[in-house]
Amino acid sequence: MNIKPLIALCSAIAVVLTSCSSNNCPLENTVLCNYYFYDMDGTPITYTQPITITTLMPGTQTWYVYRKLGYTTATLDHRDSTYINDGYSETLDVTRRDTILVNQSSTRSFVQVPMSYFNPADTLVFKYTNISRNDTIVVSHRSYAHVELPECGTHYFHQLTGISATDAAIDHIEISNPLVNYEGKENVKIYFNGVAE
Amino acid sequence: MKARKTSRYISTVWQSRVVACIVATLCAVQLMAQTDGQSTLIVGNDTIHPDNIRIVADGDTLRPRQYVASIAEEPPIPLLQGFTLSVDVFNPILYLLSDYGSVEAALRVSLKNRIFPIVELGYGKCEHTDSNTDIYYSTAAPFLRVGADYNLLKNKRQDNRLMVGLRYGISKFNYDMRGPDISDPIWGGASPFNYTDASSTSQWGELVLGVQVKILKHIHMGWSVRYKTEFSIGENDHSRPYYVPGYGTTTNTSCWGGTYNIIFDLRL
Repeated sequence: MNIKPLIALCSAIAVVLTSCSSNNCPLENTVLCNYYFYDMDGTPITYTQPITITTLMPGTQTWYVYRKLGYTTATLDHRDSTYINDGYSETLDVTRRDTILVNQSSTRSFVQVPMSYFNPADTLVFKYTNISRNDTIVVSHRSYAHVELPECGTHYFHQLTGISATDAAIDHIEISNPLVNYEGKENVKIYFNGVAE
Repeated sequence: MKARKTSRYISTVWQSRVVACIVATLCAVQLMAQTDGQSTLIVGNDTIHPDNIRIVADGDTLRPRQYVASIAEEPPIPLLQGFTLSVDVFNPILYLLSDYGSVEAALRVSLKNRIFPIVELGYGKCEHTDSNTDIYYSTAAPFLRVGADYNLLKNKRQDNRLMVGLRYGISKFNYDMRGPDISDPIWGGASPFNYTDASSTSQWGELVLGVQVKILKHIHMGWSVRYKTEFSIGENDHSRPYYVPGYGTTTNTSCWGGTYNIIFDLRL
C-alpha cells in the first residue's frame, strides 16, 4: 500500500495538536481598572509619593467631633460620652460615606482600582502627601456580568464611557482602553502636572 | 502439489477477509496490513492481484484446478459509484452518560470509491450545571457539517475503506445561562445572573480519520475519530457558549470527538 498519505496525515495531526490552546479560567480573576501614570508630555512616570484613593459610597456618615482648647481634636464615628464628661464640646459632621480603595501606595507607575457593579459612575478621590489639595476623578461606565465558562464563575466587566478629573496634581486624563476585564490592560492614562526629568 | 498449496492459500484468503473485517474496526493500520497481505498472489515469478484471478471450474465441482491471470485491463471505476446514508450511534449514547450529546446522520457520495463528498446533519443538546459555581447552561439546536473524505486504501474496488477527511461545521443556536446572585463587595447591592435565549453562531473545522467495514451486502459499520478546532465561537457581553451543537464543549479551543456509524450503501 501507499504509505505516503498516512505519513502526511500523521504530520497534519501533529501540526494541529501542537497548535492547541486552552480556554481555561483566567489566573487573574479580579476585575480592576488600571490607571497608568504619565507626565504632562506623555512620558511614563513612577509616582514616588504615597497616594491614597478613596471612593464615595451611597449614603451618609455621621462623624462626632470633640474639641477642647489646648487638647487634640478627636473625630469618631460613634458618640463617646467620656469626652463630654471631660469638658469637650461635641459637634456632628455629616459627610458622604467613603471607603479606601488604595492605601498609601508609593513608588508606583500605575494603580489598580475596583469598580462598582451597579452604579453608573464612580467617584475616586486621590489624596497626595506632598500636595494639600485632593483630586477627584469621576469615571462613568456600563457594567455587566460575564461568564467565560461555568466553572470559572461570574465576573463583572465594565465599559468605560467617560472620565473627568480636577486639576490639583492632574494635568489631564483620558481613557486608553474602555474595556475593563481581567486581562489587566491599561485602561486610563493619568497625566500629572510637570515633566519628568 | 503447487495447485494444492494455492487452493489452501485461496481458502486462507477468504478466512482472513472475515478476520480483517473485525480487526479493522479496532485498528486502521491492521486493516491496511491485512488488505495488503491479500492483495497479491505469487504464481511463478509473477505477482498477480486477486481481482485478476479467474477460477476455472471442473464440471459440477467448484474445486479450482487452474489459475489464469487475466491479461485484459480492468474496466475503469465509474465516477459516480453511489450514495451512503449513515447514522451515528455513539453520540446518542454519550448523551445518556453525560450532560451533552447529539443525534446525527450523514449523506455521502462515492466518486470512484476514492473521494466522498459528505453532508452531515444533526441535533445537539446540552444541560450542564457546574457543581462548584452552580452556573447552569442549556442549549438544543441543529448543526451542519460539510466536507469530503478520501479513501486511503490502494485497492479502490474492495468494500472496506480507510478514510481521511475534512469538515467545516456551523451551528446557529440559542442558549440559556443562569447562576447565583452576584453581590458587589464594596459598593453593595446584588443582581441575579439569568440570561435566556442568548444567540450564537459558531463555526469550526474537523480533521477526520475513519474506518468502514462491510458487514452485510448493503451495510457497513465503522468509526471515526475527529480532531475539532474552533474557527469562531459567537459570544456576547454576558457569556461565551459552554457547548456548541456538533462541536462539543468550548473548554479548549480544540477538542476530540468521534462517531460510530451504521452505514447503508445505496449503490447505483
